[in-house]
Amino acid sequence: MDISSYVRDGSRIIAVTGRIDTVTSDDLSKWLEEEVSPPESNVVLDCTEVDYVSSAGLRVILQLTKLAKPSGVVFSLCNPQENLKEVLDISGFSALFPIYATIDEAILPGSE
Amino acid sequence: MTKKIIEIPATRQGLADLCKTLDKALDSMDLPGKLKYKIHLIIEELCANHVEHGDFNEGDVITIKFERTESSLITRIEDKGSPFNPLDLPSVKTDLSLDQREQGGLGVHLVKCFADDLSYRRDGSKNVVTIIKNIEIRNR
Repeated sequence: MDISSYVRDGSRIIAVTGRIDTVTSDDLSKWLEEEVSPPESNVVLDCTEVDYVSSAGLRVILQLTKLAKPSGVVFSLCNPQENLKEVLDISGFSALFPIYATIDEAILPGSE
Repeated sequence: MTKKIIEIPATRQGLADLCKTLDKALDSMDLPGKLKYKIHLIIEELCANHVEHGDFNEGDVITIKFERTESSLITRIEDKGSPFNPLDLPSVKTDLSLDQREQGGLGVHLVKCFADDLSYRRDGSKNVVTIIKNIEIRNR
């Protein structure tokens, strides 16, 4: 798993590549604690290059969502692959935060 | 019928090894991509639960046995940990608001959703979890 991050149009984009599983989720959790706690702007988790997410990964996504809320910023997720979309749906996560098809839509939700 | 067996140490490091070896094993069984994703997730979740709750001794292992038939993949996960039935874990409530959502229970929820059949038995000193995934037969 690789994590990269940049700011675009005032939103913090976190792009993860690879798998967020039992083994790698701790690294992502620690990274978020250090880099995005508390978030200062809207946060978008770019899942374009995420191959696989297990419940350990979902817990980190929940952690990020809960970090965002008291800070008054919006957490969203963009471009999940079909398998990940299904995992998010059956976990009820799709109702907890917006999911967009592209980063552009996530940054400027009005442009859908 | 194709059979395959994987054995991992019942430790966190064993889980890390599993994430690598599982892909290879599943690749060798000619499974549709979507099914491979789901069975990988089921096995990872169950093994992670067992490592956490199994109260293992040093040197203990988890054995994963696959039987691939034309129309199904039967997976048996066996270990000599303390009795642990994942089906006894409470189901997570997926319709709660963000404030009410808790971190636990998601793994077993995913397992129950993705398995076509899931059963547990205590066989002597062993936990045996059996997962069946049906495989759609194409071109018939």
